[in-house]
Amino acid sequence: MTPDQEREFRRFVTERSGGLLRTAYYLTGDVHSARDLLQAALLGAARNWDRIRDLGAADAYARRSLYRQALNWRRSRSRRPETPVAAVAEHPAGGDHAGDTVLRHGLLAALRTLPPRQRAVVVLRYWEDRPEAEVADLLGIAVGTVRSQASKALAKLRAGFPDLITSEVTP
Amino acid sequence: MTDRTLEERALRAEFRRVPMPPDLTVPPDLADAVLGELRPGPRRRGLLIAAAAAATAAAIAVPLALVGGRPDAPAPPAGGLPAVLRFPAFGGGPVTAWVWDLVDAHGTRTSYLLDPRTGTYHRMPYPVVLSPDTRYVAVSDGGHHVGWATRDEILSRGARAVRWLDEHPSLPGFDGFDGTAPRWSPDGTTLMWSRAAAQSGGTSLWVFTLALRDASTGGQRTTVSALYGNPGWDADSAHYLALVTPKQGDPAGLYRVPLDRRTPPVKGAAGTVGGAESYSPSRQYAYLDGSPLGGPHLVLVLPTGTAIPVPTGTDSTRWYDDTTLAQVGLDGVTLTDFHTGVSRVVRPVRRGPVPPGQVSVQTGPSAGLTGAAASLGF
Repeated sequence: MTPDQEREFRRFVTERSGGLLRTAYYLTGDVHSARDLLQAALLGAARNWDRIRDLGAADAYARRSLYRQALNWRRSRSRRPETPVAAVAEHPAGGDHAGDTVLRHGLLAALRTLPPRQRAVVVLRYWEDRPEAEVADLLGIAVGTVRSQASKALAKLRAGFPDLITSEVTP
Repeated sequence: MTDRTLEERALRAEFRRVPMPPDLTVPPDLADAVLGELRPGPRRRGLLIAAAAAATAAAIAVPLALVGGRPDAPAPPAGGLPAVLRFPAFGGGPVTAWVWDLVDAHGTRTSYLLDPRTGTYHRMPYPVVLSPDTRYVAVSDGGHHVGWATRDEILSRGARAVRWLDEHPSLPGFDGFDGTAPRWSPDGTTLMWSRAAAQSGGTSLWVFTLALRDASTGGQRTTVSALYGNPGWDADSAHYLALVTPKQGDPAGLYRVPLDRRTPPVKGAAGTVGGAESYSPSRQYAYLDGSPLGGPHLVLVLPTGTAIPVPTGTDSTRWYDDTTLAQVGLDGVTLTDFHTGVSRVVRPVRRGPVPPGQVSVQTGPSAGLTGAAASLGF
């Protein structure tokens, strides 16, 4: 990477990382994993920086990389053993007192129940508000697959988290 | 409007309604970390063509300029601290500052960790707490999460080297850190921190310990215990000490609680609610910084609990040896024998430009330091 390209890349990181990080958060479900995922996606973009023409193209590249890394990353993480807890707390907490936390945990818990591809479709369609064709392009799948994955995801959420998708909405 | 459309609208609204966690922030050194990974390692460097070598030289020119040690070098630009700094060198001695912590006007702490190969201090992605043997660091991410890494790993890989410890989904009440920062046991094998977990009718405090004896193979062991108050380590590394206040139902005082909780807590312990840095090398003495409570600074003789007043100062006070405390600042180190009260000052033989703000240190043995790092001891 030349010094000029490095300057462009730094500018891109400054301007676009916030949005990418928020998407990564919904894809991974926790702050630290989101940061790791973002860094991995940016590394992919940096490696191909000489082929990227402008910040818009860089954003699309990084976003595509983010989603594809998320699919691979979740598969590799599922093989990692969890940290054992030797002793259980004596006075378990009854629940979170902060309303924000409850809201956040509800949505994240719902997203966690979805397989990686369905989760990516849900985040792209309903968090980023992207049309089906764009979702298909970003994930490298057919538009029909986007539609069916979204349907399956909604059905799963309807069954497991009915409050989440039947709450009152102001038109 | 179809049911499907209504569901989609509800889901979109839910995404908008849910606030992002407050610690979801882009790391300030993200671009550096990515570009650092992009650059080839030493083995491949010989294969670089001339143009690429020139670009690399340009890229490292900035950090080299920053560590040049010119006494009149300008302060770093506002809002950003240099990636690498040189802190004072004292000419050599058995103890050295492994970590310098800079605290700015907003109370933000930035840790600089010594790279023993170069004698320079590197900005850490998170505030770190160094283990007594200097091999590990515990990190606290803006006060919300706790993790650990080996010293060498975090120097080479930055934030990606950190293993985060508090994301276990089965632990109740987990949502960010609200308790004490991580503290190493005096024997350096275990890490403890506390977390407030909300309960109906009040807040409980929890202690987590992580045994790092087999950290080299990635093994971890976590135990969970209930606790009364702000926890610290006992000198034996097998108990923690907790302050109990009257409103919590038990007689007020300092309690000694076994980590394995096989015996009940005992009131009336002699010690301090601190970490490894509180105890002398032999663990026969504990240092109590009285300033937060407005009281005197004391050395406790363990296990009798006899207190010896010691001089106060604005610099960080750390153990030097079993009879000596070191007050460490950028302008010098004051070594005081707390039995006799006799002090001597070690002045730096070299100091680099350090950004303004409060500084504190984390010390450790200088044995094994060579080259430029050898002169850092005092």
